[in-house]
Amino acid sequence: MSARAGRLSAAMVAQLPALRRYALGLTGQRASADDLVQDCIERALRRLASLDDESRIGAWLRTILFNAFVDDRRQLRHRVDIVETEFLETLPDPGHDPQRRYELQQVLRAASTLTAQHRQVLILVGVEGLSYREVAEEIGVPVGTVMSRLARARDQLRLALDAGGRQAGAAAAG
Amino acid sequence: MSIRPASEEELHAFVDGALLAARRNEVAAILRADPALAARVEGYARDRDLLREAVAQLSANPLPSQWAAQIQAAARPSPARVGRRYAIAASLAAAVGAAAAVKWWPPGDTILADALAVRDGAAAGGRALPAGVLADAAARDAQLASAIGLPAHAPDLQRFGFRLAAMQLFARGAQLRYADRGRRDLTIYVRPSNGTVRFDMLRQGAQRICIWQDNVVGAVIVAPLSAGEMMRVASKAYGDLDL
Repeated sequence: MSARAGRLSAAMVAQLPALRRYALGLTGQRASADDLVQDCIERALRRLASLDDESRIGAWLRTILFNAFVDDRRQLRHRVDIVETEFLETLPDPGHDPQRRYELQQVLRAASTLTAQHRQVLILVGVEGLSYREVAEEIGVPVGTVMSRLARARDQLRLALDAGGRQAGAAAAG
Repeated sequence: MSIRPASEEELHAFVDGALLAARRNEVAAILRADPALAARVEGYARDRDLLREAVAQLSANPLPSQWAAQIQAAARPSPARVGRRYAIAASLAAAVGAAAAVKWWPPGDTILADALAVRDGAAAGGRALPAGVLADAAARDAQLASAIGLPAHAPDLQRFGFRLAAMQLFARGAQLRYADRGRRDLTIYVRPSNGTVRFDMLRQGAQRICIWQDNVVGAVIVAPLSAGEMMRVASKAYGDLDL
């Protein structure tokens, strides 16, 4: 094993937990996230020679994963309904608080209604804790675009949560 | 001195702690003076934290161990990697009658070519197991063990919707053919290991191909599955073979 191959291999393995977390944030459910990470690994291994800056391997992998996510969404758009119903089954029960469990399910469901680009900034900033500048460099847009995209994403998330709450209320009343 | 109103972007930057201290203090003052706006901003922070918690909950499961194994296997050197790439692709294309998008292949390791030849009915000397024996788990496992010279068990893939439909035995290998209700085929070709430890996942058109080999046994699984489905099937098959 060459020194570079060994380094990159170890760095990729170290990135796996964060990579899956990112995939879970994008997809909202485990089976799709694991498929996505698997696809990302395959793509990354094929393109490893193109990685110039080894210190940016995390951003490089996330970019590959996001592109795979967008490709999958194009191919599997007709399966959206199936994917959405899976949130209820994949989220573990957090203790004995059904209300909290419901809220967590609702936020995943609401996030799934956003565009891929909106989910991307929402997860990179809100879950991965990247700075606006880091996100801007990673996705190749100005910082101002990240900020406006994030603002729209959070508004859309709130609207989707409100709509979900109204539907649940109507169902309970009916 | 009047304070410049906060833009939408600044409100979110406030939520994320991304404002410089002076502007952060100004936005805080704006929010103190406007409870409705403050409630909206608190809502953004709450939604962000909720999403973070939901993703953390989903992340609680351990990572599939195959991912690290696949990455580490790919980093191992292969002297024949570049030189054989095209010849191997060409020979595989000939074997399956289709263009094969494959990566490097170790010299002398024919397990994939053998598996695809068996799958396509191009391998000579095979013997199909009679339906009566196939239905009897003990009898079919005995036949499988005899064919590959190892105490193997036919994997049970019913949890994935696949039922064992046929088994073909060769001098030093066997192919197990499964089918699901959608009439999708899944084949597992299994034979004794040639000693090369490896794990690879390839794609060929709609088919995904998983090859693993340890010191004891080698197997090739071919099916029209997603990568994640294939990993789960491969894990189950590896466990069920019980070698």
